[in-house]
Formats: sequence, C-alpha cells, structure tokens
Amino acid sequence: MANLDSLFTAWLEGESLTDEQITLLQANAEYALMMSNAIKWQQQSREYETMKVPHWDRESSMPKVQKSHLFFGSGMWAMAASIALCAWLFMSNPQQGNQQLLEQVAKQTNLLESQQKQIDQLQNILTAQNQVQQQHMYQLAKEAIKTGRIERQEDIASVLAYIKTQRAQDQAYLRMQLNDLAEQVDGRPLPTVANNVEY
Amino acid sequence: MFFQSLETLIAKAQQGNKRAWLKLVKQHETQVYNYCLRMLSHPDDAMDLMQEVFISVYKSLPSFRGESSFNTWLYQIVHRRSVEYYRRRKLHQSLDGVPEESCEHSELETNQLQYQQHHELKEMMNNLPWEQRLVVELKFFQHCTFEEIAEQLGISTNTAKSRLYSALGKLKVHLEAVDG
Repeated sequence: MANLDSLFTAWLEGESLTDEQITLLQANAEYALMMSNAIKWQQQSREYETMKVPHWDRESSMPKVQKSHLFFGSGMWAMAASIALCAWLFMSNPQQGNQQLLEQVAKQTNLLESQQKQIDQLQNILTAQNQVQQQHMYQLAKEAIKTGRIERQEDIASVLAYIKTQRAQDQAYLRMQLNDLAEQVDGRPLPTVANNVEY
Repeated sequence: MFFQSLETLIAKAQQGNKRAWLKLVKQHETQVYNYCLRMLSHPDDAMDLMQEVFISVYKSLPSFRGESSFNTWLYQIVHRRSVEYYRRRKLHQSLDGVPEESCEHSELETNQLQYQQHHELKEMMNNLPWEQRLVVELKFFQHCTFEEIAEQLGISTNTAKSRLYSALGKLKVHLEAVDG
C-alpha cells in the first residue's frame, strides 16, 4: 500500500511511470478511481480557457495609506512617555516605585486636567469666533444686496434721463422741421398746395 | 514605454511609481482573476476578491524583499485574502445559493462550449470544501508540487497530500451522484 502511495504521489508530481507501475495502480480500486479523477482535473486544467478580466479601475488598487504618526500629534507622545516611565519605575524598584508611581499618576492627572481645560477654552473661543464670523457674513451679504439694489436704481434712473433727453431732442428737431414746412406752405399759391405739386 | 523586467517594475512600484504599479497589476491581473473565478465561481465575487488582493499587495509591496519569487509571494497573499473572503462570504450566504452570472458577463454564454466547460468546472469546485479546493487549484491549475503547496498554504506536505486525496475521493462521490 505504501508502495502504491509513493507511486501515486510520483505520478501526481509529474514523474513518468512504467506501464507496469501504472497497471499496478489501476489494479487497486481506490487508486484507480483517484487516478481517473486526477485525470479529469488535469483535463479541466488543460482545456481551461483563460477568461478576460472585465474592465476595472486599476487605480482603485492604490489606496491612500494613512500616516500612523499623525495619531501621535497631540500630546500622545507625552502620554506614552509617562506610561513608559511609570512602568520602568515600577519594574526597577517596586517599593519605592509605588510612591513614585502614585506621584507620577497624580502629575499625569493634573496634566490631563489642565489639557482638558485648555481644550475646552479653545473650543469656546472657536465657537465664539464662528458666531462672529457668521454675523459678519450676514452683514456682508446684506450690504451686497443693498448696494446692488441702489446701483440698479441709479442705472434705471440714468437710462430714463437719457431717454427723456433723447425724446426732447427728437421733439425739438420735429418742431423745427414742422416750422420749416409751415413756412414753405405759407409762401405758395393755394392750388399748388392742394394738388401737392412740387414747387 | 520600453520593456521593463519584473524586478525593475517591482523596484519602481516600491518607490511609489504609479505607472510601474499599474503595469505590474496589468501583468498579473489575468492570472489572479482566473484564480479567483475558479475558486469562487462567480465573476462579481472574483472581481471583488481580485481588487482586495491587489490592494493588499500594494500595501505589502514595501516589505517584499525578493526572498521568494514575486509569483509565490503574490499567491500567498491571494490565498490569504481568498480564505478571508470566503469566510466573510459564507457568513452572508452559502456559495451554492449565489445567483447565476449576470448579463454583463454574457461573453461566457456566447461560447456554448466554453460555458459548458466552465459550468462543469464550477460544479466540480463547488462540490469541494474550501481547503480541498485550494489544494486542487494549486495542484492542477498552478501545477505546484506538494512541497510548494505546503509552503504556500503553510501546512505540512502530508496534509497537502491527504487534502488532495480527499478531494479526489469527493469527486468520485460527486460524479457518481451526477451520473445517477
């Protein structure tokens, strides 16, 4: 059986067996079946037609790697260092370390409290600044609308004045022409005027 | 662009050269996609897995030192990702219940013979447990030796052998069931 196993393994690994060895394997029902199944898989592999890769965005395989050191930007180094210091003190001298550890913890707590206060203050300042900025924006928007309205009114007024002037000039010109015409009519004999004949 | 060796492409990609990376992806995507397709039997799943694999390769590329060949290294990642994908997938639904290929992949259906062949392969693969499927893929489609399979999967040679033998035995049962 062990011989059959090594023969079968050798066959699977691609070694060429003699006809006698193959006959030996095929004589055993279990190995014969495994052999035929392996042949079936080999046939699948040979006949396998490689599929084309559907269109895809290759650049999506390049995710933006997040910089881990950003995490240590805001006081995290101090925290890590103090924890490491506490651990070191505790490990180096447990009895004295306990006292120092407590002191260190108290210091750390104070530091954290003061940091929290600072953060709160900064947040208040930010909120206040946001409000001021919003008010300024509102004022600016109002001013812009108002200015726009006045400018539009001035433009319309100047257009109206221009039209009035133009109309006055047209009227004066027409008046002059009418006067000329009237003078010409006055100087002609009546029948000529009635028949509209060129003088 | 002139021909660039694999080593050059890898080195450039490691330095963050986008074009080199995209070329590297293009060179290996077909084999990875087909591996995924054989393992998962569904084009959409294969695409998802392939994408995950390349993201993973991209992230790990700086740590590639060339101690093994790029292909071996790549396939180690492919196996790991495929196992994770399969487990995740299994949580949501059984692979047997996966719907058939959508119309987007109708190129399969255009060639009836090819479709038939893929369908048969899919049936054979789906009949195997995941671990045996992996060994079959490596043995018959990647043409690995038992030692290589063991190295790739992080198992002993004997385990690799016994998994393959079980797979071959399973196929017998399955074919008998199909034949009626």
